[in-house]
Amino acid sequence: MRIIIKIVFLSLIIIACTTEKKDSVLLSEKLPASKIEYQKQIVGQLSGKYTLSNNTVIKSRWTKKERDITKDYLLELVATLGVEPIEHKYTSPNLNPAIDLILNPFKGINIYGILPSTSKSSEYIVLGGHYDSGKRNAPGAIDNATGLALIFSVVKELLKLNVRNKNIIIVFFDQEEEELIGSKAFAKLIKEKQWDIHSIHCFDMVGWDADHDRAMEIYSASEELLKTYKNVASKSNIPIKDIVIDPIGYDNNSTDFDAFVPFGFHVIGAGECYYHKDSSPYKDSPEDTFETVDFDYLLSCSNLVENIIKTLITE
Amino acid sequence: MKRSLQNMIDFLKKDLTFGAVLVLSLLYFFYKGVLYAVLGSYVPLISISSILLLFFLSSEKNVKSFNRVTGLWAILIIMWSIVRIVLSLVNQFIKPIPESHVSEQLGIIGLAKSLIFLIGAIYLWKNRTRVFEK
Repeated sequence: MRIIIKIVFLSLIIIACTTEKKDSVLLSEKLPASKIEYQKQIVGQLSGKYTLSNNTVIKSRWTKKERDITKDYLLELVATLGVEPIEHKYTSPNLNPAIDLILNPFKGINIYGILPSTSKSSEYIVLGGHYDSGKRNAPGAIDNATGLALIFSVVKELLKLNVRNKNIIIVFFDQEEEELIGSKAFAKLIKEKQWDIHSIHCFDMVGWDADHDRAMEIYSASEELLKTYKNVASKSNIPIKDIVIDPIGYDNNSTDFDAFVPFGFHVIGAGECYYHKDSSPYKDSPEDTFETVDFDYLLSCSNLVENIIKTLITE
Repeated sequence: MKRSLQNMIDFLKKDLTFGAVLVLSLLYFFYKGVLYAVLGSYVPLISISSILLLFFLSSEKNVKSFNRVTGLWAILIIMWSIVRIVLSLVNQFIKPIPESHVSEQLGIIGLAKSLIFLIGAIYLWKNRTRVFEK
């Protein structure tokens, strides 16, 4: 009996010490030249519609393993821009200290890269969106592969500019769906690095437009940013539905934007009209698939954001 | 203080396996306490420090009170393991936990870890009187 107990005990120790072997993941063939086509490829690969080059399929971005594969994919995606991808590894305590007694802390990895200004500048504009998906088996096509595709396309276009008066930070947050752990950690990193932040732009869910009005919803406490977005949008005849938030005592935890407000940054959130009720009904469900994404709407929003950021960095 | 430490070492030397299980369990939670303290959460470190203080004070008294504190520690680990095992079983068989971070820790590996601690704690509970009354 004692021998059996010893064998069981040793087996448990071996299982507990096991670490899962990670598959190598590669971004598949070269991205298409047209914006809408490469956005389709990125959203398709991130939401399980298309396979990666090693035949891996990212069915969801919820578990640690799935997020690790996504992270590797995104590292390669950032590298295709000619920007060095950097892993920001963080550890954060649980939200309730009592839980700390039972569980380990949160661990995750944000991915970021810096596109330097063409002239000497200490200012940074941050473009960010989360890469995890909301629930087990949710492909997260709209939430938030679309946000990532938007950011990628904007930076790809900014690279073509001869003059960029501000540095650009591109960042993909981990664990947004778990109380914004990734973006909160990144906000702390910004403080630690003492980057001179001009503004932070967070994009979450940019793929649903049932009424075909191309409207984009924005939310911010910064009058200046709201005004810039509205001015640029009016030139393209894109309706803007704005929400002015009060930063004093602000305590929301729904999207990455919320993580930056308490730190006093000039931050703006943008996406489909979630609060104005024109938003994907499939959020956090297995139906949040590639097929539900309105790619023309994503393209329209991407072009708008591109023009806004161009305005800001050529000021 | 020196005497307490010496007493503690003497108590633990009475049975090396028993002493190793006790020390390893304390070290694990002390490590967790330090890890969380670095992150700005002090509850785990305060908890394990309180237990260590109890061990320290009891070692100054006599072997009987050291035995009692070991029993208390064993019960606490049993409770800790049972909570984690129940959560793991709920996660695996009844209703999956919606938070990825929690679900990951309560999978097969997490369950194995909880079982190791449960077995270790039962071992401490069952053998403490035999060891300390040697």
